Amino acid sequence: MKPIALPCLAAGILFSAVVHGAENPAAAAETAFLPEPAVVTAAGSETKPLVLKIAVNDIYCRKTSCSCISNIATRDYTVFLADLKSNHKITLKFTYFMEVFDMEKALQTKKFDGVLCKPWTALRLADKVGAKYLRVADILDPNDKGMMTGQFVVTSSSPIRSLEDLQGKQIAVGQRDSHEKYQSPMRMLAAKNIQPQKALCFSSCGENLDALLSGKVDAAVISSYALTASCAVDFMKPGDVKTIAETEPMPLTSLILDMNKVSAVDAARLQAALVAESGGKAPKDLAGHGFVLPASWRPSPLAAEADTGIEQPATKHKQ
Amino acid sequence: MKTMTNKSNWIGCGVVALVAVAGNLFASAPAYKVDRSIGQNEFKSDPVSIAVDAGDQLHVLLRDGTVVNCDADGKTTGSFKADMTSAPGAMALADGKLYLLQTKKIEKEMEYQGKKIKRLIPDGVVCGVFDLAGKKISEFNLPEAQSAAAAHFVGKELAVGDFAKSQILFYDLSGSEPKVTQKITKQFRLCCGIFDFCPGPTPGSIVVANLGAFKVQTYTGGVKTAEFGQRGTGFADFQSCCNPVNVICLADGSYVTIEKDPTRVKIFDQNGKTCTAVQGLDELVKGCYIVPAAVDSKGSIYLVASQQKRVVKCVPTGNK
Repeated sequence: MKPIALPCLAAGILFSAVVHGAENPAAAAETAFLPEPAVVTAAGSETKPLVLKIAVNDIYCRKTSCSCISNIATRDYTVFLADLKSNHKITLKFTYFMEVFDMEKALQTKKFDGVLCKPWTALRLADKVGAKYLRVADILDPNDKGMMTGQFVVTSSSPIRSLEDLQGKQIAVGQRDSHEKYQSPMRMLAAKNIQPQKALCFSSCGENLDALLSGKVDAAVISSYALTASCAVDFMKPGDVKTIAETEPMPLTSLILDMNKVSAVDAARLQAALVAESGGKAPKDLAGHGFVLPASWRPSPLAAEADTGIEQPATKHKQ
Repeated sequence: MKTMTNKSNWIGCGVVALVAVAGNLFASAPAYKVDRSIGQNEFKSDPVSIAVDAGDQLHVLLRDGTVVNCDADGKTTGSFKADMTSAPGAMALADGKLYLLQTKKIEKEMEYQGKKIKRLIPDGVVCGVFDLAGKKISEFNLPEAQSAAAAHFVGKELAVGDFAKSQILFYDLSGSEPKVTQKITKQFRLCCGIFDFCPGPTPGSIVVANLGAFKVQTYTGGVKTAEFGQRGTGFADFQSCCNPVNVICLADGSYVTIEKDPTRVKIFDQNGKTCTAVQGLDELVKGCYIVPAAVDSKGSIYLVASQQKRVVKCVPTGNK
């Protein structure tokens, strides 16, 4: 592991870029699929079988989560998918990925019509894989919440009480491909002109929390589910840290379709079917009340040049 | 990996530094391949721990408490069922004696998402000492330990990985009662019930697979002296929800890291940088499982595929 220092120059570029709105305008579009009334009407009269290949990496799904949260991640789609097929002639062929990196690689093969995951995981890859991703539905967690946040946390004994206290401090954040642990928190800091002395970038909440507990950083940014639905539940309790700030809410898990491969009518048909089989009809093993219409979300990632100068970790290897 | 020294003699320090720099410059990881001539036969119960003795004989502890002795070619040479109140889950070996560690458990009512369920909770560790033929020599409690996930001898001391308390305890067994000489706490980010480590490259040191932090860490005298590893997409990075699940040290100072699902076994040089992967390895475990491992005097690595009830042997190819 190599600390990723944000020297003054790089930090200056980052904060200047953010404050002056140097964002990627193409990605600031609405990510929710909102069909026109005519499309909804057409979808309602469609009855022929629809088959879609979906890649799945779901925090609360038994097949894609770690066994240490088996008490929480109990979701099983078997009954729900059977209902979808028998009641709506829609077959979703799920391919489960426990490792999100593997799913990202699989998406690049372009063999999937859609993906069920944390939306940013897919949305940020859209250009790279030539997809036009839209969120057809969000799925609720076991507590029937559909949104998540990034949280700035400090140890329970820390004197740090607010975001402003992070001026000149060391923080652990996610890597730049994480929305709740990097994009959004970095924007929050920049908006308040708060410049940490150093930022360590890690690819998991566990590493961020380790950096915090080991005293390497003064604060860490984690996903809001990290202390209840990730491996961190085995080594930390929510009471071990206090949250000093939170990002804006963003969808936790969405079913996303590639609109370059799926027609708007088929997407609308799937959207209606997902919602119809949810709520009171949701099978018990879906762990929650299932799918809801997608919340509006317009993520606007930091421009690539914003963090020019941040050193990325590198490791020599040979195969 | 970086190491720390406190030498006051500047000349000596310089020599040490030069040697270290030269060592680091030319460090490389040895290459390994799977030896498919052994490890095809299943054990009757899943293996949970493995140790290699001075004569390169394998001793495999099965979940039902049986210890199977094999030669380096995997041929069974004997077995015995440990005479303990319940099956031990960890094993260490020293001076021709097997130390089998059994975690005592009590039933406790707990609450999960509003539901009350009964669970067996670790409540102490008993150590049974046996000779290699299975004759029981002694049995004693290990003070301060709540559970035993792994055990290894580090020098003359028995080191025990206690998952329940997230600590490693070192015991001096030379007296009439085991005595805790050192413990490492508050350092480990453990999950999935997995906790393993190995004796380190220097006397008294240990190397820990701190899987929740995606790191391999060396502790000397209870102090963290070096670490490497991170989660990521790079070849040398660790993946999945938590990894590596185990680590062993080779005689040349290299580190073998073992990742569960997807199985990846990599050999890192003594700096924790350059690495090679063991070629031809099939998936050892599905899901979150420990992969116990051991190394013999010839540098052969033995990996336990618990779910498949077999041991996989990897041998050096002689290349670097």
